[in-house]
Amino acid sequence: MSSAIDRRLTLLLLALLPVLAWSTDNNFHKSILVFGVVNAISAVGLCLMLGLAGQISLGQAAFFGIGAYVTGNLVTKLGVEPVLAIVAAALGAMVLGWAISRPLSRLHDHYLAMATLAFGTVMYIGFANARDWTGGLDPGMSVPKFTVFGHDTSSMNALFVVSWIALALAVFVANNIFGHRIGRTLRALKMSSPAAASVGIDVVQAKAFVFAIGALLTGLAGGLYAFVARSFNAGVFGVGYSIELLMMVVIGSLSRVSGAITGAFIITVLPILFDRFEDYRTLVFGVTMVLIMKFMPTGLVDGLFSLGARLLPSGRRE
Amino acid sequence: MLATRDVSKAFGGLKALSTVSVQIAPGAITAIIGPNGAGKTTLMNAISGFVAPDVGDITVNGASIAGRRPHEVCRKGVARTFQNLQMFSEMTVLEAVATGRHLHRRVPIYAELLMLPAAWRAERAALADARELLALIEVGESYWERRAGDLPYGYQRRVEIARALATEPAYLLLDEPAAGLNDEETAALGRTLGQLAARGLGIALIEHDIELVMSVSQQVFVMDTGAVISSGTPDEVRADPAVVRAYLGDAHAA
Repeated sequence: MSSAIDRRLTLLLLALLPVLAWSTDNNFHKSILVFGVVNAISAVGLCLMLGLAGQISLGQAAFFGIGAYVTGNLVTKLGVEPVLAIVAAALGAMVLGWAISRPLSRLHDHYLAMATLAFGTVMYIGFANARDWTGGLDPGMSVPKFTVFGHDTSSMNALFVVSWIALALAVFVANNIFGHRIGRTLRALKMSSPAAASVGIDVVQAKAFVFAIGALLTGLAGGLYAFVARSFNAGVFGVGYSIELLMMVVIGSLSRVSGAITGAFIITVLPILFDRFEDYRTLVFGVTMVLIMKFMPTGLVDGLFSLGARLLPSGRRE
Repeated sequence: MLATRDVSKAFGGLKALSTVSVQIAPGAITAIIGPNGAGKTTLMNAISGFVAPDVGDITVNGASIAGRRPHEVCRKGVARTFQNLQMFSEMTVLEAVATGRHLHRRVPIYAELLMLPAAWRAERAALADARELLALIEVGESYWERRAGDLPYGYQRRVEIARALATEPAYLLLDEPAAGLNDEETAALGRTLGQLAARGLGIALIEHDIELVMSVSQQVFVMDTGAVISSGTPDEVRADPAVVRAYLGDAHAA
């Protein structure tokens, strides 16, 4: 499947979201959509790191947390304009991502997974204990309503629009990366780092770049999350969220932006749909994940495409 | 001139290179031959920055590159291919070669992220250059959009050479480019190398195929157990008893 199809599918998903948002008056459903959009921005970041460059990160929740807490502190303590606070927080996460990639640049695969997991855990402990800045686990942090130049824009509709614009920007940049020079550089890194170095690619710098951009997008999502949730504690930024993000990009499709968005919505929405199973919720969710991975090991998007490709020609033959 | 001067390298107790001095001239093919374990690949890794020499110097036109990292060596105009293919398997052939063109791309990162017109222009130019190189190296157009890892072995070797050439090197190091090629492909490779040298490229050829070496190279260095034991034109080297001894053992010398 070509990247052109991925691009079209991504645009289709982007266009579908506002239709869904405006087809419901239920504020709870709308809030799920907004959380899905926020998660999708995070997932696009991890998709660039893991899918393109082969750099696994189990510490993404740390960047998400930095995004949320920097935003919250800038707004509550310094009275910074919310949109500027989110941008500053995303840039802060980017710097942290860049810095953390330097000592990790010699690690691959499961060693990198362990190191980033450790990073995420340390950051989580930091979030839980730096109570002056984060409110720790209890009482947590409260963030005022989202405003743009003093206008109240805290309705779910307004938050959806803001998050959707952020996702659209993330997708635009991710698509530009995927098919062109930066994407080739990152893919070269994943396929053969000796060969990448032999054509003049600075492998350490390229890894730092992808960590920085992954952290930037996840930090951006964290900043938006602060205004959507309004009240949250450090528990949100534990290892659990890092694993959820990993599931999003693996379930959707590791190698495409549309997969990251699809995965983000599946992982956001499915547990809520499964609420009716009450005590068996986690079990049903787990079994669903195992089944998807068993029958569509390259992810749902690729799986559905190859299924469609198999069904269509045979349909014509009959 | 690309030159090593008294380069030595030991891995633990094993002396892989001892005081090796070779010169690779521009516009010519210089072969480096020797039995297995002679240190040829280690020498190539030392020149291209994958292994740092313990002592000795490596210079490109007088400027030292010893101990530089691989991407820095490439930026100094020394490109290489690999004995065991290091292909960007999941890319198309065209993309794999275009990746070699990044080195000379002067488009700021924000323009690449936003795909501003400058980035589109550079992208089109890179793909056009890649097509030109693939044509030069005789990889047919029908292969260009195929997954690089799916190509026949001989074609992947050529794509590796095209990728290395895309960095516009002054010197090209080829590590056993004829390994796994049939006679016809080997002959075609020899012709291509001759054409490249005629354009001014300095080629270092590590090769087991003695016929290819003797027919295309102007200068030959023979290595054995980490040291250069003979050098000269192909005919001089062929007549050197030390070379015969290294390849066939003492009984055949004389």
